[in-house]
Amino acid sequence: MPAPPLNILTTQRGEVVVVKLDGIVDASTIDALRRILEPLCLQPGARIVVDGSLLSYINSLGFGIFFKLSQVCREQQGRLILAGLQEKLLIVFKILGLEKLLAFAPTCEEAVATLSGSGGS
Amino acid sequence: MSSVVADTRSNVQIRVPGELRFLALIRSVITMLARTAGFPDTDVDKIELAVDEACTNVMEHAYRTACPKPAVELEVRWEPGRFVVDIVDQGTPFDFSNYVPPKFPDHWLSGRTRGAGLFLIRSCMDETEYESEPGRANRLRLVKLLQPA
Repeated sequence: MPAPPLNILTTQRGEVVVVKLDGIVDASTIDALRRILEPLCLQPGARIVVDGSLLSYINSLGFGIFFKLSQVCREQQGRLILAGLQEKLLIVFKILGLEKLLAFAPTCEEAVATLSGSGGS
Repeated sequence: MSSVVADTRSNVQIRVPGELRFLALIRSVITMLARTAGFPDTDVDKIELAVDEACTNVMEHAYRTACPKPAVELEVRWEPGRFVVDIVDQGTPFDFSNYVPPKFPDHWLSGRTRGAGLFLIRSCMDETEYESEPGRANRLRLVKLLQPA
């Protein structure tokens, strides 16, 4: 049985990097996500939008990684916004006390607009 | 080899290899069964998350040193007003009685990225119970109550 997919597409929109996630984030895909996202977050002053509009599932490992990488980004004077998440996923961020520790936007476009022209942190 | 067995008493048994790549299969079957039992989407999502977290814990922790990894067995049954999922493994037992739930957001701010799974399981389900027979099997029972329509 093949591993369940997490397709990761990275595009540059001006000074903003958009990482579009399509699929699921669980224990079987978390390493692939980290391998792509962590180097981006380590770039000084990086502005990153994680477009999660096509994500159907995130488990606790995923919530932890999004927080950790958001912190990494902040330490490098960058910013990371999670965009377009389904309501059912946002509810779990709230259960875990992450809603005030992470930046969210309703859509990818709004997140890109927020970060375009803004300084890092 | 994965298997799904159903009987006439609304019992379903699922047996899958204890490998992370089978989590999606487990979630698919559990989601389908929870919908069949009549849960609304919000509760189906909670059951899916709880079962995924429990199976992830088995595969990543209880089976950490096992090679090859034993199977994970799920026994699902629904009774009037109750949906019960038993997750059975042959791995290292978990000290369920001494578990202290993390405090959020302090948990994250202290630098941890893991350790929220059991908290989510308890948040999502109405009852949880853990039983271990050392050297034989561990059984985590998850119960979701079904409200009358």
